[in-house]
Amino acid sequence: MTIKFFAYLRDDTRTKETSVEKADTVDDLLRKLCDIYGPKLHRRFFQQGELSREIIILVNGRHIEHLNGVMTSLEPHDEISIFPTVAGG
Amino acid sequence: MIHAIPVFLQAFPIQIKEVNLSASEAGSKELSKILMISPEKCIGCRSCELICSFSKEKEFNPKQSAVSVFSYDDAAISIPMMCMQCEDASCVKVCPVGALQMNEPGAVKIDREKCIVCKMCISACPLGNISFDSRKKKIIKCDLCEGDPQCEKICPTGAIHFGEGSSVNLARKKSIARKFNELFGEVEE
Amino acid sequence: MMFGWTGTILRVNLSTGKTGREPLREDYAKSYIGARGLGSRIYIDEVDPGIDPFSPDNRLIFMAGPLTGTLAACPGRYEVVTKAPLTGTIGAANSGGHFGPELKFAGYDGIIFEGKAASPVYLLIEDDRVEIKDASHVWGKDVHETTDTLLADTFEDARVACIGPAGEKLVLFATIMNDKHRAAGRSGLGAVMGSKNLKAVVVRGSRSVQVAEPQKFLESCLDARKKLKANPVTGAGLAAYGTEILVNILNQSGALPTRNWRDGGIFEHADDTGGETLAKKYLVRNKGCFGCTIGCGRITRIPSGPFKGYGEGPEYEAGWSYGADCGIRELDAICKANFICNELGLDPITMGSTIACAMEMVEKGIIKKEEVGRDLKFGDAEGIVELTRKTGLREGFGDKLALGSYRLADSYGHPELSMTVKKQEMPAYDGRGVQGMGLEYATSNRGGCHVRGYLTSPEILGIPKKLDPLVTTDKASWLKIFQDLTAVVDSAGICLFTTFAIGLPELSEMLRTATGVNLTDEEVLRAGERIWNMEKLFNLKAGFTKADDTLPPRLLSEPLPSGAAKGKVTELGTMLPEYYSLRGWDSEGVPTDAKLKELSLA
Repeated sequence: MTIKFFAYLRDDTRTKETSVEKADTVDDLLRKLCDIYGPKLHRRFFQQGELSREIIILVNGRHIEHLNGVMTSLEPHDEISIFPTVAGG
Repeated sequence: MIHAIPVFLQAFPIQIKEVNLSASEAGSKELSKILMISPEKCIGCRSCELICSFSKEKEFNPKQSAVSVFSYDDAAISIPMMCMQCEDASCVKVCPVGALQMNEPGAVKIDREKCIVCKMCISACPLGNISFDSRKKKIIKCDLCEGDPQCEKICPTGAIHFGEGSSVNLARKKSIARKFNELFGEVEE
Repeated sequence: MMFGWTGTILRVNLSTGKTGREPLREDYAKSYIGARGLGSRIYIDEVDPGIDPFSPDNRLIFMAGPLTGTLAACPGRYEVVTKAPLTGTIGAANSGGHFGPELKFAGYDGIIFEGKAASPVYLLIEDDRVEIKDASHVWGKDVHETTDTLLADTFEDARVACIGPAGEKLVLFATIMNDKHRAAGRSGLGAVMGSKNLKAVVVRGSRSVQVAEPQKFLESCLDARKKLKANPVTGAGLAAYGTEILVNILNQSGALPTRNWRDGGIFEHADDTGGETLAKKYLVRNKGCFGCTIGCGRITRIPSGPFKGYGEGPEYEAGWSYGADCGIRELDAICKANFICNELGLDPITMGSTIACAMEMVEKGIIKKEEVGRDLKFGDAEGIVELTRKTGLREGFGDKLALGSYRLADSYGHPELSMTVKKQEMPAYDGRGVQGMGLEYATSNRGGCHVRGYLTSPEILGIPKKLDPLVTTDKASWLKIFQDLTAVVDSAGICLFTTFAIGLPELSEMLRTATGVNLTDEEVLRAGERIWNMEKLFNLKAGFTKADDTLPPRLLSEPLPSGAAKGKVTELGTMLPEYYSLRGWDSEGVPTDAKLKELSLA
C-alpha cells in the first residue's frame, strides 16, 4: 500500500511517499511507520497514546473519522495520505 | 566555582584577589541585558509599535511609539528600530539640563521633571531613535520599560529579544555552528 | 466620545469637490458593528438597488472596524462596499495590510465617496487635512509605481489604497490594492473606483485609537493572541506554508476542481503547485498584516527564467485558479500570473477561472484560437501570463476576458461552461466533493464565494469538528452559523483566520472592552445574522430570486468521475430548502416579516 506524507511530515520522514507491504489497520500502519522513521514521527502521530488531534489521515481520500477511525481496516492496494493540520484559506 | 578556587590558589596566587573581586561585583548587580533585533524573523506586523504606545499612554498610536518598524519591499526585510541605549550616549552628552541618564536596568531614561523639551537630543542621536510627540509635546524615547520591555513580550516571532549581553546572540551562533554537525558529526541523530 | 470607533466618517463628493465630516450613528455602530456591516448599512440606506454600478450616483465606501488599529488578534482589516459590477449583488470586499489602521489613526472610521471627478484624482488625508488632488501623473500606472510615486509626493510613511490599469479600464473584476500587495479582491469594486476617476486614497494619521477599558481590553487581546499562538494552524502552519498548503489535502480528498471543473477533483500535478513546493522553491520570507501574529503572507521570488518576478502570494484560491483549474503545473508561471494580477489590480480567482473557461471553449472549438491570438489549451503556462496581462490592459482577447467567464461564455452561447454563481467564479473547493461548500456558493450574498461560509474548515480540516464532506446532514445549520459569524468578524475589523483558534466569546469580549458597549455574545452573533439578512434584502430588491441561488449544471448533474467523492453531485435540492427554513425565510428565499422584526430590520 502507498503512504503519502505532506507538509512538515515530509521533513520528518525525508520523503514524499513510501510503501508498506502489509498492515491490517490504520493503527497497525502508523506503528509500522514509527518503527521505520523513528520517535519523532511517533510524537507527531500520538498524543497520550491516542491519535493526535493535529493529524488528518485519509484512506483513498476518505477521512478515517468517517470510516472506522484508527481501526479502519486496510487493503493491499489502498492509498493512505497523512497530513498535519496546518492551514485553511 | 568553589571547588576551583583551591586550584587557583596553588597555581596563580596573584589572581585569587581578582577572582574574589569579580565574584563580589557580580553578586551586587545583575548582568546587563540588551535588546537584540533579528530582522530575519520580523514579519512587519508592528505589534511592537502598538504595545509601546499603549504601555505608556493607554492608547494605540504608532507615532507615539519609541519603536518603529521599517519595511523594505524590494529586500523583503523588516527591521524594528528603537533606542539602543548607547554606553557612550550622544543624547546624554548634549542634554543641557542633565535630564538623560543611564539607569539600573541599562536604559538611558528621561527625567521628565528636568526635561525642558529643547529637542537637542533628537538632533544629537546618530541613530535617529529619539522623536517628538507633536500632540503631547514631549520626547519619545525607549526606556526599556523598567527592565521588562513590552515589545519583546508582544513580538510574535522573537524578532525582538531582551537577553543577557554575552549570550543574547547565542541562538544565531548556534544555528550556524550546527551546520558543522552535518559535516563532521560522528553520531547520527 | 466613542471608543474603538473614532465616531467620524468622511464624505467626499468627487463631482463637486466637497469634503466633510459626519458623525457615526451610535445605533448603527451597535447594530452593525463596523466595516462590512456598517459600510453596507450606510450604502443600502443611500443607494437604489437598481443602480448602475458605474453611475456617478453610486457610492463607494471604505470602512474600518472598531477593532481595526488596536492590539486585538489580527486587527488590520477594513472593508470596501458598493454594488458589484461583476455580479450586480451587494459587493463587499475585505482587505488586510496597514491601510485600514492608518485610516483610524487619521481619526476616521471610514470614507463615503459619491459622484465622479472630472479628471483623475486621488484623495489625500492627513488627520484633519483632507484634499482632492490631481492624479493625472499616475493614471495609467500600475499599482507599485502608483504607490511609490504617491508616497514620494506626500509622506513616505503614509499608506496607499489604489487601483491599477484594470480598475481604470473598468475590468469587471478589478481590485482595489493597498500596501501594494493586499487586495479588496472580489466582484470588481476596483472598477467602481475607476468609474469615478478615483485613482487612489493616501492616508497618514498621527492620532490614537482609544478603547473604553484599556486594561481589560489588553487582557482580552493577549488571551486571544496566546490562543492563536498555541493553535497549530495559526501558530505555525500558516506561517510555514501559507494557504497553498491546502492544494494537496483538497486533491487527496478528491475535491480539487480540475480543468474548469471538467476533469473532476483530482489534478495529477497538484503537488507541483502546492504550499510545500512553494516554500521550498520560491518563498523568500513570510509576512504579516498590521498587528498580526500569524504571518501567512508569502513574499515570493522567481529568480530566473521566462517567469522571473517578485511579489506576494499566491494564496490558495489564486494558486488553484491558475493551477489545477487551468491544468498548469509550472508553479513559477502561476506565481508570475499572480504577481501581474497584483500589479495591474485584478482578481486572480476570477481571472484564472475565466481563462480556464476560455481554454475549455477553445478545446471544444467554440472559440477559434485565431481570435484568442494563441492556441489556448489547458496547460498553457505562457498563456495564463500573457492573457492576464492583456486582460488588465484590455488588449486583444483580454478585452473579452475582462468581462468575466459568465459574460464570455454567454456571448458564445455556452453559459453553462462558466463555473459561476450569480456571475462570480467559484473558488477552489469542489461542491460535489464538499457538499457544504456547494451550499455556500449557491447562497452567498456576493455570488460564488468560499470565504463567507467556509465550511471547508469543518468538512475537510475538522476545525472545530469533523463533518463528513459527502453528506448533506446538518450542512445548512452549520452554514448559517459560519455565515453569521463571518459577517461579525468582517465587521469587527479583524482577520477571518483568527477563527481557527478563537470564537464568538473571545471576539465579543474584545468588542465589549474596546467599545464599552455591553453586547452579549448572542447579540454579537445576531448582528451577524442581521447583516446577512440586510445584504439578502438588497439582492432581492436588485432583482435576484431563488432561481439565482443555484449552481452551474456541471455541479448539479455531472458526477465526479473519480476519487473519494466519485459519483457525487451537489445535492442542492436537499440542502437549500432546509437552509431557507433555518434562516427564517420562506420557500422562495425571502426573509419573513417575523424574521425581519426579530432582527430589527422591518
